[in-house]
Amino acid sequence: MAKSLTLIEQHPAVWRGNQSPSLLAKRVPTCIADLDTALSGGFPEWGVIRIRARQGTGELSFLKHLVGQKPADKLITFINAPGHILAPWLKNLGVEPIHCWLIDTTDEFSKWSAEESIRSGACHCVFLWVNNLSPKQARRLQVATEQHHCQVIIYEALSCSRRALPIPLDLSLYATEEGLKVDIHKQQGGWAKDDIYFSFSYTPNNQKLHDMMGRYGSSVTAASTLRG
Amino acid sequence: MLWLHLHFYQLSLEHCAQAINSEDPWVVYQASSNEIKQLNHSAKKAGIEIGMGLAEAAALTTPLRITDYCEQTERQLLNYLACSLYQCAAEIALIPPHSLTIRIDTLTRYYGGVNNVWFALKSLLSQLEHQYHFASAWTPEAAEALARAQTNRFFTQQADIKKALYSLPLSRLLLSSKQHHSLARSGVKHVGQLFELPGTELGKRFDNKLLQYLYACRGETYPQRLFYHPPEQFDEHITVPFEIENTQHLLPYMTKVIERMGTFLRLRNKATQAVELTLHYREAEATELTIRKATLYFSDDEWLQLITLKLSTLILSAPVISFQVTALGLQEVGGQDNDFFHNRRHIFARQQLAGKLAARLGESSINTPKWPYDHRMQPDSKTMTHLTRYYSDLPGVVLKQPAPLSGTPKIEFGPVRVETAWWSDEKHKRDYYIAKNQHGQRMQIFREDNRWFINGWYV
Repeated sequence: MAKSLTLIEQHPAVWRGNQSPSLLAKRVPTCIADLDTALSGGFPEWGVIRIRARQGTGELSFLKHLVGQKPADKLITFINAPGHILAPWLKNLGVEPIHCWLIDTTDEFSKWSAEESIRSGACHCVFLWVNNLSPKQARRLQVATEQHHCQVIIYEALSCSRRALPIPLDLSLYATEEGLKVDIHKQQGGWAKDDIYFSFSYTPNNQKLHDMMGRYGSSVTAASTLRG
Repeated sequence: MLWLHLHFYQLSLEHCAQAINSEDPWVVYQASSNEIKQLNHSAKKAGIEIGMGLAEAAALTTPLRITDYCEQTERQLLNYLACSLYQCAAEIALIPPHSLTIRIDTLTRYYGGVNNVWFALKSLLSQLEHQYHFASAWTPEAAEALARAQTNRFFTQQADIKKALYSLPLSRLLLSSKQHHSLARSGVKHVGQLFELPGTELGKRFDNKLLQYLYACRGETYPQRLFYHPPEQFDEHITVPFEIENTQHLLPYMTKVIERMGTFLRLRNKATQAVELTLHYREAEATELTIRKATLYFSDDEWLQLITLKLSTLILSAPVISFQVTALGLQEVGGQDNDFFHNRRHIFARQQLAGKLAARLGESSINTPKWPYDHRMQPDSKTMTHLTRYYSDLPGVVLKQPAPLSGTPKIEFGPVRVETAWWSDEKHKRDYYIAKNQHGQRMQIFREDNRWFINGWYV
């Protein structure tokens, strides 16, 4: 029994939940206290990270601190983003738009582009929007990131079914009234943890206007809900 | 087997000449035996020869620069030389005070040929700027005899070695004068003649040692040599040939040592944060200087700059007779350090990546993020210039084509009215809002002609 267990432990795709994080990649804090605690310091400096989220829930903006810390002379590639990423928004995120590339291609080529970007050594971060990545493909990307010290963030729609992947970090992101909720499905060097809530706001709103209106008791109620 | 013998015939002289560039006749003189050991070109031109007495040499030319011969210094210099050669060859045997022998045949696998080994060694030796006589042969003894005859040829064929060796005069072999004399008396003048004599006959007249030596020269015994092992730490002690009162004169010697330190560290993938420099005086207490750097570094030129700076401010209390350079606390240069060319590599890597992606996906598939050209919240592909305006209400991702809105999202911000391009056919009059739907997704929506569209997402 003991022998067969040892064999399993030697398998590169298997790691123990309590494996010491010091042996793993360095952690980069996200500056969201609860999340950093749950992730034992932050996101791994390199490797594949899957974030399952609906688009438009701040799935990229909440990584502001992480992305802004990266070396400025290396590239960030966005592969198959749901639209055209705007330069001013990147600038707000702390990223120089000239060091970003947007790659727009088919699903099949998106994985190839991601691998090439990692292997080129020119990128420090690759954002890839893809659904239903197979474990084999994920493994391939993971090996490449380890060799070239690159970070790959895969965005997957919540609507597609979750498959287990051999990657060091697997998250789901949900929008809540106050901000975001993160479920950590799996992480290397730590335990899974659900329901990490934190407040997060990244878009301007009319709250001030509403407050003013409320204070002066205006009878005018803003047509804040659309009909039709 | 193939061995290369290198005979450095003017190590001390070259050591002296590092600091002073002089055209004057210059000799290295050994007082104990009253003979000239080494001489430079001008001295040779004046008629001085090796082995002459000092009085004879001095009578031939004035002025004559004389440096005392010190075997210890010469041995040290040979050791440093071996350390430098170690980057090219592994099996180096020292023959103090001024020769060394290198086994060549074991290196051919790494260099892809015997001649390549020789080219590598030759280019390294030319960098070190030493004069030498050399020859290659099947055993160290045979190579030494050929080098002593100043053959200066790199033989690779057995027949060539045999031919050269057999035609050598007997005086080139390491025989005692007595042995030499008795052989000459019996009519043996060339090495070839001696080699053809049967061993048993020679054994009757000469001792075992000579026989062993002859067999070794003929390549009939397996040579046993103690090979050189480079030291683990970098620590060099240099005796300068004359007393140095000015730090400026110390620098040429220092440069050589620091260059050697650079090579030493680079070969071992080590780096140091501190270098200790000790200056020795004839009577006064030695001065110890420690030069530190904030980061690990093994390149010699930065160290040299630092040492030059340090020395320029130093006033010597007494003339320096020797100095010592020690690299303190050697550390492994790990993978976590940035490599030296990482900036340059990225440029090439980026170009390569662009080429690869464009070749497979087509050039139109690769874009850089765009700025909106005017107040219209659309990226503009034609120009890179942009308005400096308040951008915080722009979404991260803009759809290629606005999509019709379905559902009833809640408006969080807005409206922002944009009315422009009235001068063209593409009249633009839209009210933009930030809205959030029941799933918490934030989007930029706009109303145009009483219809609602999604413009982009706040990712």
